[in-house]
Amino acid sequence: MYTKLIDFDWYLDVYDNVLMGSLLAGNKLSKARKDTSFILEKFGLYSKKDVGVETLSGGQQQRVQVARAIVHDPKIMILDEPIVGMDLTSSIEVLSFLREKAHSEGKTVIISSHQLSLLENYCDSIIFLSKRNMITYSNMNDFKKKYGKFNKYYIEYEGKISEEVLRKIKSKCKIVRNIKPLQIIMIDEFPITTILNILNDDVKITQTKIDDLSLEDVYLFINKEAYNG
Amino acid sequence: MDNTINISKYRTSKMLDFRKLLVVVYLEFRAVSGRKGDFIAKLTNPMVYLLFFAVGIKSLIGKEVTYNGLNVQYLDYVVPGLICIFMTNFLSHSLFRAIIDKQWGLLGLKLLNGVSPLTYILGMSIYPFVVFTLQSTIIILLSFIMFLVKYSIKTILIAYVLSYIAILFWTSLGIVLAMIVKNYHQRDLLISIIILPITFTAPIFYSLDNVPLYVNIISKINPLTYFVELIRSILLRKPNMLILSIALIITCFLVNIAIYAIRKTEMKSQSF
Repeated sequence: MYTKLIDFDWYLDVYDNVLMGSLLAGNKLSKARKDTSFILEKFGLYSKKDVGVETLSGGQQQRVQVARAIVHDPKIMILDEPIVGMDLTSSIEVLSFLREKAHSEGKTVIISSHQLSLLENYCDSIIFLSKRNMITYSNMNDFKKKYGKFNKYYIEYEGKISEEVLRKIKSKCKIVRNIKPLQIIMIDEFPITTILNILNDDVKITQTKIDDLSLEDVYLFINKEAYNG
Repeated sequence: MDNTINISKYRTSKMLDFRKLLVVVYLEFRAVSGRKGDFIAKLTNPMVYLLFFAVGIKSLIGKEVTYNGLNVQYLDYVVPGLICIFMTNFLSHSLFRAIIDKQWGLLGLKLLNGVSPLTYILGMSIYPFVVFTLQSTIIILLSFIMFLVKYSIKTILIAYVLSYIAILFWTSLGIVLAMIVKNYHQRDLLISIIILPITFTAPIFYSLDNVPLYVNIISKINPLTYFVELIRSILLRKPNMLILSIALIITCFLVNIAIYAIRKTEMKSQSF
């Protein structure tokens, strides 16, 4: 198990902080050392193994923590925000490693994260939670198929949309982001022209673009609170 | 098959797991290995105390002091006290280390991985015991080489073994305080409030045979008194079973308090 808070023994260097995870899991020192070197190599931290954790950047510290949590190669890994604070390259490396573990070694990896755009490409199944309730649990492909029938529109405009027009739009579609460009998801059988006509009363529409729904859009789509706001 | 993990069982476990003990000991040694300056200071401090402090006081007090009604050479008398003076340093050492474990969630991590509170306490006491043994050896060797203070090898070995009781006491006290304190200010305050009075109200440099009544009374409630008397009685070949019993009882009591404190403390990262 792993927590996103920075939990280090600041007296220990990077290597020993990770080694701790393997030793506490019951591995012998020789195996723990081997596993530690392996995971540090995988996470691009081997060159930093002898330095104090306080000298690392936030993203590197995060990698050390994830490394410590999984160095003993557990069957089930529960990771809370494992890539928070990491740069994109590191995030991809860590998620790729976890995906590889799950696929080639049959490990169960449960990741709790708000970085949906990254998870979309690395997770097999998804659970959406809101206010302690499970909104949905599904295989990622099924999940995408389910919401694949919907389209997202980007509407560029000039001027300011009034509250009254927004209310009208909300009754016919889901607003993902009420910023420029306006992002909406059409959920009913209305054509997009219905929305454009309503908007035309208020603002001048300059461009419209259509796109597939991302995981992030779906989250906003099914999270009622987001839409009520 | 019930695969439910009962997290609370880790916290309440009374078992001593030898393998986990080795892990805690190993990590403690690794933690201090990068602080060679601290380690060297720990070994040089005894020399300073012996060569300057004790020898200086001897020139004031004279060659002999009365101990349990007998006249003994002052340096024979003070060396066991000097040995014990460094025990109290391990109170602050274990306090610092246990606070790190508590503050950064590592205590919870260790307990979740099967390190029972007793294993944790014993594991934390081994490094202090090793350093203490080295410090004691330096004092004993130096006092022999420079001042011909002689103790038999047998009594020295017995004193080393029994000194573990004291180390366990101070380690446990450090852990108890670490579980109680809420911030670094409280920690520093406790150290400054506790260490100095404990050191000076124990019969390290003077004999209780000749002190005013109030010093005698205060020294009786000072745990260091019993550990000093224990080590001194062994090295001066006047073993005192009553003192040994008291030392054992207060140590057992404090170890149990430390176990209780660990069980009750919040196992998550805490802001200090």
